[in-house]
This record gives sequence, C-alpha cells and structure tokens, in this order.
Amino acid sequence: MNRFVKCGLAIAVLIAPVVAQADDADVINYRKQIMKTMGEQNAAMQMTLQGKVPADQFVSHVKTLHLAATQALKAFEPEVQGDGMTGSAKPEVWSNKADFAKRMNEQVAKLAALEKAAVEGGVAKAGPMIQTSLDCRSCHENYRVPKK
Amino acid sequence: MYRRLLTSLVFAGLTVGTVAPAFAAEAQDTIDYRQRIMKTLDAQVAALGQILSGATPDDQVVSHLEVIALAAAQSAKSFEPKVEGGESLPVVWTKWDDFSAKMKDFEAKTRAAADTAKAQGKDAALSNILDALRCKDCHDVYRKKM
Repeated sequence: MNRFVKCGLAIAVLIAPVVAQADDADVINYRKQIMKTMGEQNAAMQMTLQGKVPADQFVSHVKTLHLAATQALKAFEPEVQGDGMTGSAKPEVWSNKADFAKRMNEQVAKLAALEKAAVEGGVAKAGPMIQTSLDCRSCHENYRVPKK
Repeated sequence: MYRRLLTSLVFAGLTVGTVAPAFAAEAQDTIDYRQRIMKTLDAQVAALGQILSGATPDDQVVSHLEVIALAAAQSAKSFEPKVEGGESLPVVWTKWDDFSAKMKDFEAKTRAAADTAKAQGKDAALSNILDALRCKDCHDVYRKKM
C-alpha cells in the first residue's frame, strides 16, 4: 500500500465520525421540523374548536396535520436515536419498529379519515372525531424521551 | 349625588376590570394563533431547505410544498384581525394594502409551486421556488427586529 493511500484512509477514518454525526444531526433536525409542524397545527386547530379564533381555517389545519403525519412516517425511517438533548426519539422506536410503525400508520389513517370528514362537513362532522383521531400520546408515552 | 357618582365609578371600574382581561385574552389568542402558523411555515421551509441543501432525501418535496401553500393561506387570514403585538409591527395595519398584497402574492406563488409539483414533479416546482419563498419581503418591513 503506498503512502498516499495509507494517508487517504487515515484521513477518511478520522473524518468519518464527524460526517456521520453531521448526517445524524440532519436527520434529527428534519424530524424535529416535522414534529414542530404537527404541534403548531394541532394547537392552531384546537384554538378554532375552542372558539378562540374563527373556525374558517379548520379544514386547512386538518389537511396540514394529515400531510405532516405522512412526513413523520418517512422521517423516522432512518435509525438515528436522540439522547434527549439533540433529539427525543427513544431507541425503542427502532427496537420495536413493527409496533411503532403500526401506531404511526394508524395515526396517518385516522387523520386521513378526519380530513375526509372535515372536507365533507367541516367542524360539525369532523369535530366529534378529533379526540379519537389525534392519538399523539400513543407514541409519545412509549417512544419519546420525556421532556426535562 | 356624590354617593351615586361614586357608586357609578366603582361599578364602571368593576366592569372594566372584568371585561379587560377577557379582551386581553382574545387579543393574545389572535397573536398566539398567528405565531402557530408562522412557526409552521418556519418549520416546513427549514425542512425544504434541508432537502435543497442535500442534507435530507427529496422524497417529501411535494408534501412540504403543499403544507407551505396551506400555511401561507392560513397566515394571510390570520393577520386580518387588527391586533398588534407579538412580532408584528403596527405598520402591518397602517400599510395594510401593501402588506396584504404581499401576503396574497406569497399565497398565490406557494400555491402555484405546490400545484406544479403535483402536476409536473418536484424539479419543475423547485426551479423557481426562491421566487415563491420571499419571506424577507415582509419580515424586513413588518416584523420586529429580534
């Protein structure tokens, strides 16, 4: 092995953890942006239901939540765990992958049904479905590092 | 007579005292709602930015563009109540025609980008995306400098 190849490999070995770390941070940041979207839109939608703001954007909030849930489904595919500081996903997301994916898929399906009801009948039809359609705790209790 | 006046003043004070917090809460609700929507836009534009920089796979582009278009329409509506506060400068409402024209432009361009992505694919939509996401046009003039 010539000296240049040895040198190149040594540099690659030294750089690899840095590059991997950057990639992991990107994966976690991306997930966070999507979860933030869900949190904000859920809160905004709840405000329309509580009569704190006009309900004319209710359907739009439901559509947004449905789309963000599908984004979240994809965002958790890379196995990158959080430590409670940089990210909040527990290792169980991937060690119990089948259960986590089932819950996420159920959430997407419930939001699809909620969106259909909202488009068809607005708050009157979709409002009563909200409580059973948004089951955030189902995942958060098992798969999210508790907030400190 | 003084007694009646005093009673009226006390009653008025009580009334104002009771009504004022309710009004303040309503104003705060309007501000909170706006902020929820602006934070949605911030999160989705950041996610799209990660994709454009190559840090994240691009398989969610169509979805991000649709959410941005929905949130842009939400934001245009959320500024209609004239409630100053949060990060909005009073000039939002004193120059309402300009502000609302910029918001409508934002809404129309993000909607066009989302529809283009659905009809022609993400590359067609992303070719002109910076023209749709001109956040600074409003932020420079209408948002408090933090």
